[in-house]
Amino acid sequence: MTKIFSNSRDAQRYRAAFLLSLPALIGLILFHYWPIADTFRLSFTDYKVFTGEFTFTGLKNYDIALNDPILFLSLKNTALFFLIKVPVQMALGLCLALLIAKPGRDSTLLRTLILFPAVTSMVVASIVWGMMFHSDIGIVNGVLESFGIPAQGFLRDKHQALPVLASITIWKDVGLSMIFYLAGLLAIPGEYYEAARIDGAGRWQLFRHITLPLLNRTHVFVLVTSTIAAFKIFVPVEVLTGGGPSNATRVIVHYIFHLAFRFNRFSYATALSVILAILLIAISIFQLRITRDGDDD
Amino acid sequence: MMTEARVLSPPASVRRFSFASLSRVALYLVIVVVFATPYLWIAGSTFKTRQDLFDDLYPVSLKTFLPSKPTTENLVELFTETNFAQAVLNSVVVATMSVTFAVTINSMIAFVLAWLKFPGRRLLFLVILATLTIAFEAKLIPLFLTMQQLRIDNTLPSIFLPWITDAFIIFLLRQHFAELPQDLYDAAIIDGCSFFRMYWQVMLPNIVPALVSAAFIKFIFSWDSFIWPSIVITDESKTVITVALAKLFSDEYIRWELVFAGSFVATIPVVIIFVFLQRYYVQGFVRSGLK
Repeated sequence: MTKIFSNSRDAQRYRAAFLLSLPALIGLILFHYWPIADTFRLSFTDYKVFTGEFTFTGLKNYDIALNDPILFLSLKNTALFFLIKVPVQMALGLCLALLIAKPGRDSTLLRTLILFPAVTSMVVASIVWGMMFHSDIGIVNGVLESFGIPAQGFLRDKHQALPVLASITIWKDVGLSMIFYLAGLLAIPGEYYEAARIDGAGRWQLFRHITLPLLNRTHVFVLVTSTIAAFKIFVPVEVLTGGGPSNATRVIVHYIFHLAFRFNRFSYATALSVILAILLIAISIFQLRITRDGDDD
Repeated sequence: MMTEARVLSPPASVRRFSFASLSRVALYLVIVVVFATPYLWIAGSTFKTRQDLFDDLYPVSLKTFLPSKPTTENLVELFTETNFAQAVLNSVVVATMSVTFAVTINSMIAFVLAWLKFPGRRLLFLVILATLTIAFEAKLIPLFLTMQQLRIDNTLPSIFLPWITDAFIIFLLRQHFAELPQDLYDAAIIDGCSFFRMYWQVMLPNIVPALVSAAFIKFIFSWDSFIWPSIVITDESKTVITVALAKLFSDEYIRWELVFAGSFVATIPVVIIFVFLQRYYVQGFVRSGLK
């Protein structure tokens, strides 16, 4: 009797659980798994604008990609952007976290202020910094001139444009890095510092031999997430430079976006999307591996 | 004892004005300038006439940030002569729908993943988390084609529908559900509570802070979204705030004063909400990031 009772209860529970999971499962299939599979499928086709048909062409798109100088240029610029942005953002994030780790009124105020950009939309961040870095009417040049430094080209200068874009995204993203570092710092037991201090360790030694190594997990997390974000740089490029001047800020997502939605080259753009997705996964795995190897030492 | 302490204290207070604390103040000042200036500039310029805006630019002084004769004509013009009001409304509708659906749907499956013991639940959880490894930028094209096939492209639902199911939120909420005590579950079972009521009346009220975190993070995501709306929406009356702003900024003849006013509208309310909800925002990221 009880057995039957519990079985019908189980059945009820499974039915309820299924209904509770169903909307999310539909969303996952329709908007996550299916598009990923479809990206892969479309990358082996050719899209005809006039008929709107996709015809199978095998590896042709990948063949084109291998001989596409603009693809390689955008990958190079994206990598350069990553190299400028990620180390600076991590170092600044850690420094800011150390600065505000001591609880207090000014720490709270600073933390709030540094997180403002995180909740400000990237379009606004791009626009406002784009105007501040404007070579003619920007206040950055205004400040430089009042110190006797000649006005800079910034976004119009092909050597400065990418670093300027990187600075804007660092300004926007450094708050979250700081928050992760802060959480990591607060998780370090205070006894470690006391013990080391009794052994006569100085402040630098405490930082070098306790803080830095114990933050290893945080380093890995911030490194991987900020690397992925850097490789997906798009908004400031679209809003401020459009890939110029002379292709200096042409980056991979921007290139894919324009191929697909400005030139209707859907199939070729999906092939590049597949390359981007694989590249990002490969980079994440690589970073996790080398940082884990470091862990074993 | 008292006097002794007083005698000992002066060196400490003298140290307060040492080089170290002076450089600390300087450092704070630099941070405040770098992070606050853009907001002050947006806010100040929003309430200036176009003429004042350009007159006050050089040399950079307090005048650059403070309007000498504040006016609301930019905001009035922005809302009456452009379709910005519509874009703001659309963004509010999209964000509200997105947050409501996302919190509901993701919390339901998160509860099942945390409290129903069924074969393959770890696998299902991993399969869901795997979606986080694929950049959404890599699936924009099929998503766009799907929207066309469903004939819902160029509608407000098409902006938020694809992003409702969110593995990040499922992960965050599952962690919180899983941390609730077994006793809570057992007591409800003894009371004859159904599985659905277990979710809705017993468990959900116990993770409200996590729900607020999820809701606020989703709100920011929705408010900030730019790539997808600019792809899926072609009709100007359905545009969202970020796309409308970028358009103002890309016009042949840029109306700087309107760009400032638009940035002000897009930013300041969110920043003010953030001041009150920042604890939830930070917790949401920290709890899910480091576990």
